[in-house]
Amino acid sequence: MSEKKIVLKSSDGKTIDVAKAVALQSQTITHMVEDSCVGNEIPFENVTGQVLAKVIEYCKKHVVVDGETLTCKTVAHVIHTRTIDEIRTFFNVENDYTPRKKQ
Amino acid sequence: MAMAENYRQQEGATTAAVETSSHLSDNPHQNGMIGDSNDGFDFVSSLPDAILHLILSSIPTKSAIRTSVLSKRWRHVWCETPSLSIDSHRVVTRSINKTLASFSAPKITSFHLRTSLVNRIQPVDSWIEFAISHDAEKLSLEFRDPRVRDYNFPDSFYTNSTVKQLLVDSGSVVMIPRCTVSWTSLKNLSLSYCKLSDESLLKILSGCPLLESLELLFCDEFRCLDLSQSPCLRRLEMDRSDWFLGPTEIVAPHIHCLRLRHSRLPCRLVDVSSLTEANLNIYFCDLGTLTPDFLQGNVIKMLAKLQNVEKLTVGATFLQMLSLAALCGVRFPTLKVESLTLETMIVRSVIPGITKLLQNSPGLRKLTIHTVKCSIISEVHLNNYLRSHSLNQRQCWRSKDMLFPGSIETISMLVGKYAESNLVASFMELLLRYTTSLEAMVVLLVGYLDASGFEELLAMAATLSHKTNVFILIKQSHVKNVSNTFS
Repeated sequence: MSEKKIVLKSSDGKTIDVAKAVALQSQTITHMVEDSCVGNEIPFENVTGQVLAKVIEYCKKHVVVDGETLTCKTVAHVIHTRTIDEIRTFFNVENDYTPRKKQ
Repeated sequence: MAMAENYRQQEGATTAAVETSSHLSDNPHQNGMIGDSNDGFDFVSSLPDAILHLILSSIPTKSAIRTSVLSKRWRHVWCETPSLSIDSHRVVTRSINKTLASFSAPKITSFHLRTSLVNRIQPVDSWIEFAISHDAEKLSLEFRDPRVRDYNFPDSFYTNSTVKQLLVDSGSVVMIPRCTVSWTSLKNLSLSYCKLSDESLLKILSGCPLLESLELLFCDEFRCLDLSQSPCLRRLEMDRSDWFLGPTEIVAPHIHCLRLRHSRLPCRLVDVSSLTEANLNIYFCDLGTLTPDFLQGNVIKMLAKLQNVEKLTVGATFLQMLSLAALCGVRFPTLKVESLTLETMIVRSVIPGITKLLQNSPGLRKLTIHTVKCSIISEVHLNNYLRSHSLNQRQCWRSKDMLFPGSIETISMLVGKYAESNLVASFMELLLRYTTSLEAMVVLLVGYLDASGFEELLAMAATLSHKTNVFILIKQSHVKNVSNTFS
C-alpha cells in the first residue's frame, strides 16, 4: 500500500491529515506508527488539537531531502573528489577503451 | 545514530518532549548505492544523459572533463553538458581555450568564470563572448582583483538579450557602459564591489525592464538608488560598509522584500511603501566616531520606515543599537510586524533592544530566535557611549520586569553551537515568564555537543512547561549545515 498520509488525533478529538514524510520527521510519531496505529490513525492522548497543529507546522519545514537529489549530489561529490581509477571502482564503470584510443 | 527518546508527560494538557534525529549520511555505501551488494552493476553509466548533465553541472568543468576517460559511454558527456564553470587561477589560458574549443553543446544554461584580469584582458573578452554567443542564461563573472581598474566589458556584454541571471564580482573594476544597455530578459542582477556612477546605474536599470531582484553588495560611487522606474523589482539586497559607502538615499516604491546591511553612514529610505518583508543589520568599525543623533537618525528612523512590514528580521549589532536607544530613552515607533526573527548571539547587551522591540509590536504572533556566530560590539564600547550620555551602565544592563505582547503564539529557537547553555536557558525563561498567550515553544539545537548543558536545558524545559502550560519541544539535530531560513 502506497498510502502516503497519516492521521493524527488529538486529545480533544480533532484530526489532522499529514503526509507520511512530514510526520516521520518526529521520532515519537515514527515509533507510534510502528507500535500502535489503528489503520492510519495515531492517537495523542495528552496533546490538544491546537498544539498538535503547531508541531506539525514545524515538522513540515524540516522534511529530509528526497532520494533523487541526494543521489545526484553524492555522485557529483565522488566525481569531483576522486581519481579516475577510484571513480571506476566506486561505480563499477568498465573501461572499454582500447589502449590506442585512451587519452 | 539516533538517541533513545525521552518523552515526559505532565498532567493536564502540557507536555515537554525531546527528540533527537540524525539525518541520512552522505556515504553512498550506507545508502546502498554501490559496492559489493550491487553485483558489479554500473548504475551511474546507465543514467540518462539529462541526469548526467545535471550532475556534471554542479562540479567545476575541470573535474567534469576527466569523466571523458572513464569509458566510451562517458566520452562526450561533459562537452554536451550545457554548463561551464571555470576557475582560471588554477588553470592556464591555453587550456581554457582548448576546453572551449572542445565544447559541443549548442546552448549554455550556466557560465561561471572566475579569473584574475592581470595580463589577461584579451582572452577574458573572448570568453565572455563565447558565453553570450551560446545564449547563456546565467552568467557569473568573478574578477576579484583590485590591481586592475581599467577593464571595460565588451559592448556585446551590455546588449545581451538572453541572459536572465547576471552576477558580477568585479574587484573595483569600474562599470561604465559606453553603449545603451539592453538586457531584455534579465530578472536577477547581482553586482559586488563594482564602482558605478549614478549615470551608469541609471543606464543599467533602464536597460532591464523585467528586473525582479537586485543585489548591490559593497558597490560605491552612486549616491541615489532610484528604483521607481523598475516596476517588476520586488527584491533588493544591499551591503554597505565604511569603505564602500553606497547610496545615501533609496527610493524603492515597488519592492516587497528588502535586505539591508548598512553602515553608520546615513541612508534614507525615501519610499518603501510596498515593503512586506525586511532584514536589517549594521556593520561597524567603532562607536567612537558616531554622530550625536546617530541613534535617532540612522536606527530609529529606519525602523520607523519599516513600520508596516509583516515579517522582520533583525541582526545582532542592530539589536545592540536598539538597546542603546532604549536605554537613552529614545522613543520607538509602533510596529505592525507579525513575525519577528532575531539573528543574534544571546548576550546581555541585546536584551534591552529585544525587550523594547517586543513591547512595541502589539500584533506579533511568531517570534524566532536564531543564534548565529556574529560580530557584536563589545560591552566596553557600549558602556563608553552610555557614560557619554550620563547613564550608569551597571543599572542599565540589569534586567527589568517587562510585559510582552499578549499575541505571541509560537516561539522558535534555533540554537547553534556558539550558544552557552546557561544563557540560552535564562533567555528561554525570560521569554516564557512574560508571554501570556504562548502555546508552543520549539527549540532546535544544532550540533549542540555539551551533554550536561543539554540535560540542564531539558530539566528546565520540563519545569517551565508544567508551570506555564506551554508545549515545549526540544529537538536535537546533528546535521552539519542547517540553512539560514529557519522561519
